[in-house]
Amino acid sequence: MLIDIPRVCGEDTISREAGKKIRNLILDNWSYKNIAIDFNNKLIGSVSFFDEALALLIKKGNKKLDEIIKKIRLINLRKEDKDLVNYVFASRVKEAETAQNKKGQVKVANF
Amino acid sequence: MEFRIQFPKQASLTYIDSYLSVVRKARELEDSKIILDCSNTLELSPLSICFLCGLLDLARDKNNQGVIILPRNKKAARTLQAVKLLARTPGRPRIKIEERMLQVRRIDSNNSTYVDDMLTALAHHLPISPEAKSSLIFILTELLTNTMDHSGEKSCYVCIGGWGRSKNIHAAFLDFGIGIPNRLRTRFGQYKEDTEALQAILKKRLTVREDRIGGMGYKLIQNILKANEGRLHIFSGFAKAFLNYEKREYKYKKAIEPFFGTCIDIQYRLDRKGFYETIPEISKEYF
Repeated sequence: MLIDIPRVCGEDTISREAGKKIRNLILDNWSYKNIAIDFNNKLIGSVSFFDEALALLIKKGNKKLDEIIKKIRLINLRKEDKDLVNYVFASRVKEAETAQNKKGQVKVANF
Repeated sequence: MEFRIQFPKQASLTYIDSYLSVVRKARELEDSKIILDCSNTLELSPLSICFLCGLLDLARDKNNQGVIILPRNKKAARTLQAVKLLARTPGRPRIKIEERMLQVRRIDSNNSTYVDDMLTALAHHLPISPEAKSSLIFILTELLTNTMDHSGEKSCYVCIGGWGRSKNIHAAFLDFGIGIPNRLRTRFGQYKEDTEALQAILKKRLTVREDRIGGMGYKLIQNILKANEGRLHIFSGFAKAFLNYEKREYKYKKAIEPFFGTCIDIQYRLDRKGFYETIPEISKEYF
């Protein structure tokens, strides 16, 4: 399964709206073993786009991090965008861990 | 009717209030001649260029005639000549000034290519490393998305430049949209004043989105500028924010009159750290 970013998003490749389009496409095709996302070396540079398209697969798509990493391949992605994707993912993972720790603490307190 | 606006001598941020009041006045006028008098102007900044470009468009929108009186200072005049040409161009062209150390665009779409183009052109004359360029792209693209998503006005003016021997890059961002959305105050009743709402946007990642997920953009912008010891100034509605990360001075002030739109001024230091050196999260590679 291949998702061509410029083809799907057209001119808008930075907004949350465009990112959501990609996330929905990923979720619709989740049954495929691999999903390749082709950026055609187009500069994205948007934390909002990457957050909505990929990182929110955890929080809103209820997918596990290792599942996502295993299934999704980012191709023709510029170096700066790759760094941004990793930053966004790390932020969301950290956020999820903090929320889980808090939940755990509340449970312990209740106990 | 003729309305003359005197532009200040210096391009300093001190004059921001006069720029904002000029926009208010230009919005009220119809079928008039608006004279943007820059005869005494000695220097230009991305901020003043953005306002000049924006005012010319505002004038045209309201059927006014916009006229720029060029500065007596030759260097400033040469830069402004490109802006003046726009007043004679029919339609709504994309602004592009090929000044050696200054790039300006009117951006009408959600696309980071324009920002990339501007920085690439500047990098021929200024010592912008690939890392600094990425940091600036991340900052400016995020501001662009915010404008397109929330301002209600699908266009903005972006000007980036470097001056003389300065090791700083200055960037200005201007739109004439709604400013701080009212939805923010209706949804979060505790923020009655624009200054409080702006503080919450910057500190608590407040967002107008229905699912309340977001606020990542300003978090990233602040992280980069904090590491860079740069500056971030925001003017929107009744709120003014002056964040100086080098001196660790963070001031929020209430404006006497509101500005319907958003104006952002950034100072990025080319000799300091940026995105890569400071954000530990990117040490982990997921992809």
